[in-house]
Amino acid sequence: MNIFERYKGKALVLVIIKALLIGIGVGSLVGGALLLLIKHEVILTSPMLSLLFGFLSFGLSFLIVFLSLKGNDKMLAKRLDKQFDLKEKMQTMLTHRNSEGAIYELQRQDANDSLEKIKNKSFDLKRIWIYILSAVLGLAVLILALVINPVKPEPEPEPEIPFKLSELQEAALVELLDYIDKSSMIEASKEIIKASVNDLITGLKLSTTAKEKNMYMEQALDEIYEETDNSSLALELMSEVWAQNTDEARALAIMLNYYDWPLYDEWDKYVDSVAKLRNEFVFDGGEEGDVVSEEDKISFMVNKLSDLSSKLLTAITKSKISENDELTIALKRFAEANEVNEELGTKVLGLSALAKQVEVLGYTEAQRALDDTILALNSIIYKALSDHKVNTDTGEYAMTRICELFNYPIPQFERPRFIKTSVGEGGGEEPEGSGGGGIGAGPTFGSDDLVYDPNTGEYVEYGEILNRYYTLMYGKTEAGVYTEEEKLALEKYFAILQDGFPEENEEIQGEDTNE
Amino acid sequence: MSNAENQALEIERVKMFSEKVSRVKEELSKDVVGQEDIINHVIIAIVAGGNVLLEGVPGVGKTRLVRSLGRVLGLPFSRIQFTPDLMPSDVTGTNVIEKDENGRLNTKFNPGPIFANLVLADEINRATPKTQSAMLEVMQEHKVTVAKQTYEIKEPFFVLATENPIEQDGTYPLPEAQMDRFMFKLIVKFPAKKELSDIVRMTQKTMLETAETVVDGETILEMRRLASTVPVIDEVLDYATDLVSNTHPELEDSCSVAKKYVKYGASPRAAQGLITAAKVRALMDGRYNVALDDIDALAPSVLRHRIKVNYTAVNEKLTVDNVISMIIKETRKGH
Repeated sequence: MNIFERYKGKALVLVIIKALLIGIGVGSLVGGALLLLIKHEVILTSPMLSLLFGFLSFGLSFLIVFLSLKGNDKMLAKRLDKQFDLKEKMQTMLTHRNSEGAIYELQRQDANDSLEKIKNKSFDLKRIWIYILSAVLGLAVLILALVINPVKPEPEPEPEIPFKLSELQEAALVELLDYIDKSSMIEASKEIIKASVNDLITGLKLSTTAKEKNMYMEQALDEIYEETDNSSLALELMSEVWAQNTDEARALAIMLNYYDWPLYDEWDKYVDSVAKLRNEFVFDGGEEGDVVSEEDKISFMVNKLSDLSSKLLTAITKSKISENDELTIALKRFAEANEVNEELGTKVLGLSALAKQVEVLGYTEAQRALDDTILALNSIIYKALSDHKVNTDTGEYAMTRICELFNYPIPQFERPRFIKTSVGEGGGEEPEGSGGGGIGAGPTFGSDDLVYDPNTGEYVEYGEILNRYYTLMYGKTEAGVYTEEEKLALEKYFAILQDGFPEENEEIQGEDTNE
Repeated sequence: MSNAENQALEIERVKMFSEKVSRVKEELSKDVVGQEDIINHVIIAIVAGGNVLLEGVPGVGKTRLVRSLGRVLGLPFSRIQFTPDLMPSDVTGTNVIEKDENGRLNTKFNPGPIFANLVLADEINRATPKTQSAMLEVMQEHKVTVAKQTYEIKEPFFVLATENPIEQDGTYPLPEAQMDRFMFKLIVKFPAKKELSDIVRMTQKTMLETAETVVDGETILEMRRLASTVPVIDEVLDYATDLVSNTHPELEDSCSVAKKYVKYGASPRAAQGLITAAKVRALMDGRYNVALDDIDALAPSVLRHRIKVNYTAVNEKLTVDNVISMIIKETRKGH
């Protein structure tokens, strides 16, 4: 039986190999097929699931094949008899392995001898190719699934939507040009924006499709935004001043931050910030009992002034803002000019100039002069920032108007501040960062919200502007400027502005609100 | 003797089996040219205790084979020439009236030619059915009953009957029941040219048999006992029974060949004969177990006189042997 036991070992190895091959085949096939289905989005799930199912199929098929092929001693004996033409000797030997008698003894000996005499003792592997083929096929499917990526059908070209610039739209754009021309924005920016709008009109006249129209619109919107978005410039400068990392520099940065206090109703915070900056230059008297001389105070003030001047100039240089920018000019004058407030008709010194005069003026007088310097800064920087603001507001108005005219999504403008928290409340002021500006999510206006009026350059209630536009529209409608269809569309438009958009299930008639 | 010694002796006897058969065949070959297959089958039948029906044209050495066999096996031999006027008593023997020493009349049984170990029933199909049936009891039970008196025949007993397939006039075909008593039906073919030359050359020297006795009746019986111990696994036994069952067209699970070509199938004696003969064949082959091949090799001889093909087979010019081959092929598929 020893040699039979050896064959049992061989048969077991062969069964394991076959089960492995089938397992690989089935596992690869299932995994590959699943991966293909997932790749082609027939099944919407993670590709990792195909890996999991592949392994599960491998294990299951291995187990099934192993158990079905493993067989028993009787089957192995039959197989040996058949393959090696042993004339049922192995089966007889196995059946009578425990039988006693001469004939059985001889039979067992004969069976063992016959098995021993076989030269080629390997099992018949004629059908092994079926197992190899199944593994190869399975692997082929898996490789195909890994290699082949689904060919996504080319998206059908969007249907060309015809476009023709209507006379009404053209008239509205010309009107916008007039608004810009009459606005208070700086001349250089005004010319650039007017050129952009003119280019837009020219482009729209040539456009025959909505795609071309959108292209010209996006170009115009980009140009206007690029020219009028000054909020990020101011933010950048404030960040650089803050980054100088001295008490007076940071106090100055905070004060600059609150120059737009009217927009946020933060007068108190602005006043606090000015006081904070001012206090940085006041000698605090040192330790109790110290004898403080006039020279010490003067020296303290000179150092502070010189230092802030130097830091401010460094920040201006680092901020990469144009030298011709109003804000840059204003701050440079604050840092070093001999006369910083020509408008007031007084001779006020800049920080570095004042530092040189402290000794001459004396400590107390120099403190008063510093008040004048800061006051003068208030005046010039307010103008500079107002210019910035006018530019930005006019640009936003122009962009909104263009979008409205052509039924284009209106961008949400955002004006981030350098510091959001209030001054002196737990010392929590920290900058938001130097980024910002541009288009983003923002609040919608209520009828009593203050909005910029490009006609006057002042802030008025939104409801007032809306009434003004409605009166204008009503007058033109009564004068017979618009057709009945256009009149209905305009009334619908104003009804939406007044009452908000209808609910989803309410039908809107005359949706073409751009006219 | 101890068990171990007994076993060793038994092993030696089993090993000597094939050697003795070889010697018998060797001696027979001195008198009989060729016909190796016939000789093998006859030896198998003798050892297995079966009878053989030989079918062949006259002069192919049937009688010579039996006579030589008697010499080689050291057994008494008798020949009965069957003719239409042969009476049963001519075969079995009869009671004759004799005067004893005192002058009284007594009956005395005078044994017929059947009372031999080897009996050649020549042209058995020429005798009347009555005489043929007299052979039934002898062949099956190895006993003869005359006038209510039963006489046992000495073992080993072996009947070798012959038939002439050509001359059918004035013959009485053997009934199926009697055919079934024969273990084998062997077809003795006309010798090949080379064998014919050898036969002529040999008989020119002498017509006398020259074979020598190499075994005796006791040895034959011992060989029979040894053969009966050869193991047969269920797989082989099932195959033999399936094969016989598959000759029966009336059985539901029979094979398609039988359903198409067979009129009636073989009796259970065929399965018994197959297994018994296969055991002897295995030992003759030097094996100690019965193989499927043994069944296949013996099946035509065992089945050909036990099954009858139908008109479809005749119409398609299929012989019994052809049909048996087809049945074997179909049955083997399941094993």
